[in-house]
Formats: sequence, structure tokens, C-alpha cells
Amino acid sequence: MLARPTIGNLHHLVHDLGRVLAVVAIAGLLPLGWAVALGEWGPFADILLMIGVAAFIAGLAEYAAPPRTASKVWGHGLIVVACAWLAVPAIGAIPLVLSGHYDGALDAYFDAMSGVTTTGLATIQDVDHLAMSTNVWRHTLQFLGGQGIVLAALTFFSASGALSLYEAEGRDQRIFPSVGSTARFIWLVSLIHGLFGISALTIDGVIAQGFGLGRSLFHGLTIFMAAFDTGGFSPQSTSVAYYHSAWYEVVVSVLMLAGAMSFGLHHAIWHRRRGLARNLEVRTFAATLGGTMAVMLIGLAVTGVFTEPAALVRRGFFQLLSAHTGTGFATVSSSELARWTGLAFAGIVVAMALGGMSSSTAGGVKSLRIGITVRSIVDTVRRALTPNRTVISRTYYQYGEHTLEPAMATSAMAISLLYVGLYLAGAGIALAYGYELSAALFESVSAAAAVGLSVGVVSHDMPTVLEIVMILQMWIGRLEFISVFALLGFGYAAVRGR
Amino acid sequence: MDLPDVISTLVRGARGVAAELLGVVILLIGAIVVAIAATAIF
Repeated sequence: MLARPTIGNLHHLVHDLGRVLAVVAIAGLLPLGWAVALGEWGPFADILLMIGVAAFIAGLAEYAAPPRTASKVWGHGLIVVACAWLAVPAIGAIPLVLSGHYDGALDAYFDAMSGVTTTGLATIQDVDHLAMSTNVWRHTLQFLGGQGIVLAALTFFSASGALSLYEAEGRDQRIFPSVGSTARFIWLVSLIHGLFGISALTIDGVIAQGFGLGRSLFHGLTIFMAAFDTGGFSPQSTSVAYYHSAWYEVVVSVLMLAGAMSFGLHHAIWHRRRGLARNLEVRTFAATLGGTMAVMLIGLAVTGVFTEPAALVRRGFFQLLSAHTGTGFATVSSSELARWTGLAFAGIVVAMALGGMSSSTAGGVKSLRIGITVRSIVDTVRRALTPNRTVISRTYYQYGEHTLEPAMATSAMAISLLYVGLYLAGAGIALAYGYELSAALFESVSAAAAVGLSVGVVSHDMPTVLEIVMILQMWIGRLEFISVFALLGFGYAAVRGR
Repeated sequence: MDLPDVISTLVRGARGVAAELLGVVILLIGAIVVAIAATAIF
């Protein structure tokens, strides 16, 4: 029997959620400043309203639930994160719904959830004419989600129980002994990539695209946020294809790859640690990236979508990298992507489903879980095929030798299976609405693995139930199930606990 | 952070970006080889 949550438990929950919403209010200052600089007074009022609502609720929470040192309920961090990732899109959707570019509040909430979960699927209409400051807010939501809303809150406010909050966001790698120093390193990596990415994209905007400096900076900033945080929102409806620039695609490719790498790997590269190529996660990511790339390119060659190898490589390479890193940028249209059938379809869907590395901004099953699952299966087969006395080493290398404990293998397999279930559940609902199997599966995997590529199912006129299912897929997939289970357990205990 | 720390951080960051660029280039070369072979065969 579960213990019923106490008033003290709710006190902590309200307090921490208030802190998270305070971060949203602070983040709103960036698009607000942009609106002032450009004189976009309509969006200025919309964003100001959102900041006011977030700050008011945060203030109310601080007043009603001041900091306490009392013990917290088990799984407190998980519950806070699950609630935060529902509440932040609700507040973040305010400027979106007021922009007039959405059919209603659900569409705006879908886009905000897509942003916060770094998915990139969009129900917005006429994004090409959306005010720049509102566009900056959409991308800020994505950046916040990618960096980790709670991580951001931990940076601004020191909190007791910080470790449980940090891990609940799907980051199970502490690079430094304290969560605070790990958070600082994550921001530092983002800052360095921001300097590199925004500069390179802005220079291309000025020189190759012929944009003015302000417009180049806008495109550089928004595309950097979406690429490094593997989000995939774009200020243009044609995504990265809008720029017709190989340089842009190379810079974005580097940022997408950086976003899909774990922050532990960034730290190891920065400090010249040896043996990185032996890491199970690095090997698995390289193998699945290379394998799905080869399968997709062969599939494209067979179907004859591209007759020139140069076009095949340029489109195929970018699209597959975008899919595997969970970004969702496109250099081909949704209707063209729908014509990538056979092996090309299989390659890109599997790439989306597998995702990036753990403790990164990418979604999907994650390379470490795939590696551990495969290693565990291989060990089991070897044990079955060899004599009883033969000792089989159950170890793997990940920044050092580790023993592959049965509990770890079971956990990796369970989460992998849950992802497969989530992919199939969404596809089943889309099938029920009459979509083709390939389109239903593609879009479901894209939502649940936080990718954002689309073959046309997601739009402003999609069925309402399917839209709600995809919102849940994005939320559950981004939080990697455990936080959602903890919230459900908390709710059950509140009703039926003693 | 004083100036030497800033410079050393920038150098480390540049090393990271260079490693990522190298990864992209290696993957791109592999993709070119596969694409040429695939279009020749099919």
C-alpha cells in the first residue's frame, strides 16, 4: 500500500514548480527585448502577459510554499519534472495562441510541447510571417527544454534534493561531483557552441544569403538553438532548405552531432581523455549512424528518387543525420519525404527510433541502452553455445571497465521495449484515423523520439484525439517514462494511499 | 574566470568543435562512397 502524500510533500512540489516557472519568466526577457528592439508591440504585449502570468504563479508559489528543509517524498524530483514539463508548455503557449497563427489553444499547446521536448513538429500556420520576437520565443522554449528546464532552475536557485531533480530530467551522468558544477559545464559547452554556431551562420547570412546583419543574427540564433538542442523548429516553413547553402548545412550538421553527444563525451574530448573510441556508447552510436545511413542511401538509389549521386548524398546525409540526432531539420519537403519508401523509409525510421546518446538533448531509445541490450543478448547467446565451465566476461567499457549487471541489462531492455510500445501505440491511433501504415509509423516515431520530421500527418487540421496522443507521446518519450510513472504513482497514492 | 582561463576554455571548446567537424567529415566520406557504389549497382 502506498503512503498518501502529506501537506509537506505538496509544499515541496509547489515550491519547486514555482522556481521552474520563475525561470520561464526570466527566459521570456530575451524575446521581450527582441520585440522592443524591432518595435513589435503586439508580440511585446503577448510575451509580457506570459512573463506576468509565470512570475505571478512563481511568486504565489514562493509565498504559499517558502523553502523548507523537511524530508521529501520518494521520487520527488521525478514528480516535479513530470509536472514542470506539462506546466511550462501551458504558460509558454500564451504568446503563441495570441499570435493568431494557430487554430486554437490546443494547437499552440502542441507547438509549445513540441518546443519544450525538442521535438520540432509544428501545427503553426504561415510561420514565414510570424513576428520575429514570437519566433525567438518558440526557439527559446526549445533551448530551455534541451538544456533542461530544471537544470536551468538549479543554475539560478540552489535546491536541496538537486540530484534527484537533475536525474529525473533524463540526465544520469554527473560529470563533476556536484550537480552545480555539472550544470555550469553544460552551460559552458552550450556557450562555446553558441559562439561558433551563431557566428558561422550569421556570417553565411550576411555574405551568401544577402541578409542584413540583424536578419542574419536572427536566423543564426534561432537555427543554432534548434540545432544544438536537437529541436528542429525553423523560422521558415521550408526549414534548412530555405537557405540553399552547403555551408549552412555543414555548420548545422556539426551542431546537430554536438547536440546528440552526451555532455560526458564533450568533457572527455575537451580534456583529451584516452580510450573514447572504446566506449560502448560511442561505438554503438557510430555503428547505428553508419548502418542506417548506408541502408537509407542504398534505398534511395534503388527507388531512384535522386539520379545524381551528389544530390543523393547531400539530401540523404543531412536527412539521416537530422533523424538520428533527433533534430528534425529538413532539406526536402514533407511530400517528397513521403516518397522515400522501402529501405530508405526503414533506414530513416530506425534512425529516428534509436536516437542519440544518454545525457544529451536527443530523444529516442538512446545508444547506451541499445549497446547494453545488444551486449547482453550476445553474452546470453555465447553462454548458451559454450561449455558450462567456460567463464564469459560480462563487462563493457564506458570511461572505464564496468560489470554488466543483470539489473542494468533488464532496465535497458525494459525502457527499450516501452519505447517500442509507445511508437506502436501512436501508430495504431493514426491507423484508426485512416492514415497509411508507413505515414502513421513515421509520424508516431518522430513524435515519441522527439525528432520532428514529418510526412504530412501533423498539421493544424489533424484529428484532435491524435493531436492529444502525440502531445502525450512527446511528453512521455522526452521524460523517458520513469518521471511519468512516478507522477501516476503519486496521483494514485493521493487517492488510494493511506 | 581570469584571461588565461577564458583562453584555455576557448581552446578546449575549439578542440571539441574540431572533433565534431571531423566526425561529420568522416561520415560524409562514408556516405559518398556508399552513394557512388549504390547508384552504380542499382
